[in-house]
Amino acid sequence: MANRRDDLDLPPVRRSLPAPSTDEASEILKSSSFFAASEGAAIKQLASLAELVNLPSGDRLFDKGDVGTAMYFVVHGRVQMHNGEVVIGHLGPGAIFGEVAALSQERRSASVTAVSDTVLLKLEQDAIYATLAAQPGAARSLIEALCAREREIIDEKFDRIIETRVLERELEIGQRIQRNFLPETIPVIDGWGLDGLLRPARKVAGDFFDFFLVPDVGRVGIVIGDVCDKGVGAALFMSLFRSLIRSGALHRYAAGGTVGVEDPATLLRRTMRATNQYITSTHPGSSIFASVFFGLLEPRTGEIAYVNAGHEAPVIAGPSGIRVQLEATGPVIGLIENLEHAVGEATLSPGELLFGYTDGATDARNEAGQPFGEERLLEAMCRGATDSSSVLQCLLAALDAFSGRAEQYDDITMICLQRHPDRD
Amino acid sequence: MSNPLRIAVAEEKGNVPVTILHISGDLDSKTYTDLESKAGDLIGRGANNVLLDLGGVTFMGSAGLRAIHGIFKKLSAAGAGGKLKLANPSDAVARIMKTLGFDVIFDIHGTVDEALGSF
Repeated sequence: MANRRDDLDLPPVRRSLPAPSTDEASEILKSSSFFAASEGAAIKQLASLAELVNLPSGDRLFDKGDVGTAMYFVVHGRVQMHNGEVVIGHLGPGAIFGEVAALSQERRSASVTAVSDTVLLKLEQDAIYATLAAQPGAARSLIEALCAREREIIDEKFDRIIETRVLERELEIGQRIQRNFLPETIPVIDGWGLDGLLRPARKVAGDFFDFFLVPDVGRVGIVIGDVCDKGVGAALFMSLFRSLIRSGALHRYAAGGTVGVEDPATLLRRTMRATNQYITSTHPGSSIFASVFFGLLEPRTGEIAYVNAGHEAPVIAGPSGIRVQLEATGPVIGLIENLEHAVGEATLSPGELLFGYTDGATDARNEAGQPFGEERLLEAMCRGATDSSSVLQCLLAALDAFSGRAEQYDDITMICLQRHPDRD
Repeated sequence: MSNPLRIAVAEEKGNVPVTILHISGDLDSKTYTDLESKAGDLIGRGANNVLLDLGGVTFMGSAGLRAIHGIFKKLSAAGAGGKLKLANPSDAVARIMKTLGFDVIFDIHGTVDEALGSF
C-alpha cells in the first residue's frame, strides 16, 4: 500500500515526513538516472510534487500484487524486495523501485520491506504524468532510463538462462555417469532371460538394480534397491550402496571375507553386513537408508539364496499366478549398526519368473491422485508374463496407461528373471 | 490428489511429560522435511519424549520414514534420554513400516493411549 497523508492519524508504523524542500528533492531526483537528463524545470516540477516517506526497519511498504500508483527513490536506509520468504534483492541509497506499477496499471511485482530505518522519496503517478505532459524533455530521460533498466533485466535473464543450462548440463553428466552404475550389459545365461529397467523421476535416481556373475560361488548376483528420497542426494548414495554391494560380492577379502570356500548364504550376509557397517559408520548423520533385495541365483537348479533388507517383496510367479513372495528378512540398511540379516531360499521352476520392483511402481499416481498399487502391478505382471516376451515393457505400458498425464512421482525400477520352460 | 501434511502439537502429562505430534496427510518426499523441522523445533525447545500419532497419515513413503529416523537422531543428539514412539498407523502405513523393518527399529503402538502408557 502506498502511504497517504491521512495515514498520519493512524497508529505509528509509516509516516510521511514533512515535505522536503524543493531543492532537497531536486538533488535526490537529479542523482537518479531516471531524471538525470531532464531539464531543470522538469526536475523542479517533480520535486515540488514529491514527498518523503519514513519506513522504519521491518515495516512493509507494499505487498506483491497490490495496486500501486507511486514510485520511490531510496534517500537513505535499505529495503529488500521479496516474494513471501524469498528475498529477491536489496536496494540502498540512490536506487529506484516501483516504477512499473507507477507508470502503468500493473500490480506490484514484489513486496518491499525496510531492513533498516529508511527514508524514501515518493512520486505519485499523477505528478509524473503531469510533468511529462508539461516537460517533453523529461519523457526522453525517463524512457532512456526505463530502456536501460529493461536491458539490465534482459542481461540478468540471459545470465540466468546460461546458469540454468550449465546446471542442466552438470545434471546430464551426472545422469550419464549414473547410468554406468547400472549394468551395461545384462549377463546372458543359458536357459534364462534377465531384464531390468529404471526410469528416474528426475534426471538422476535413487533406485538401482544390478546383475553380475559371482564366479566364487558360481552364481548370478541379482540386486534391486531403493535409496530413500530422490534427486542428487539419493543418486550419490545410490552409487555408494550399489558399489559396496558389488564390491562386497566380488572382492571378498576387502569386505571381511575369510580364506576358503564361501557358501552363498555367507557371502550374502557378509556383503550386507559390510555395506551396512560402512554407511552407518562413515555417514552416521545422513539418515539415508536403502531397501535392498540381493539374491544369488544358481542357474542350473533355479535355486536362489537371498537377503531382503526391507524391500518390497519380489514375487515368484508361474502360469497359474503368484506362487511365493520373498518377504523381508531384515530391516533396511544404512540406519542402524551391527545388523545381521537372515538368508531366505527359494527355487524357480522351469516356466516361472521372479519379478522385483521399487515402490515408485506401486506408488505411481494417476491424474486423480490414486496410486497404481500392488494389486494392479502384480496383475499386470502376470498378464505380461503370459502375453509378452518382454514382461517389463508390458508393465511399463500398463503403468503409463494408468498414469496418463500425471507427473512421475518417484523413480520406477523393475527387474525380471524368467526361467525358460524345459525344451522337452 | 495428494493430501497436505498437517501437524497438531499437544502436551500430555502422563507418567512423564510427552509431546504428541498428531500427523495427518501425505508424508512423502515433498513434506517430510516439514515434519522433521517441526519436531526439531520442539526438541530444541526442550521436548524430550515424543510421540508421533500417525492416525491421519494417508500416505507414507520411504522419505517419511527418513523423517522419523531424523527425529530419532535429533532426540538422541539432545542427550536427555528422551524416547520416540509411534502410534496408530493405518494398516497400509503399518505394512510399509514392517516391510522396511521399522517395527524392529522403533517402538510402534496400536493406539495413542497405549503408547502414552508405555513411556
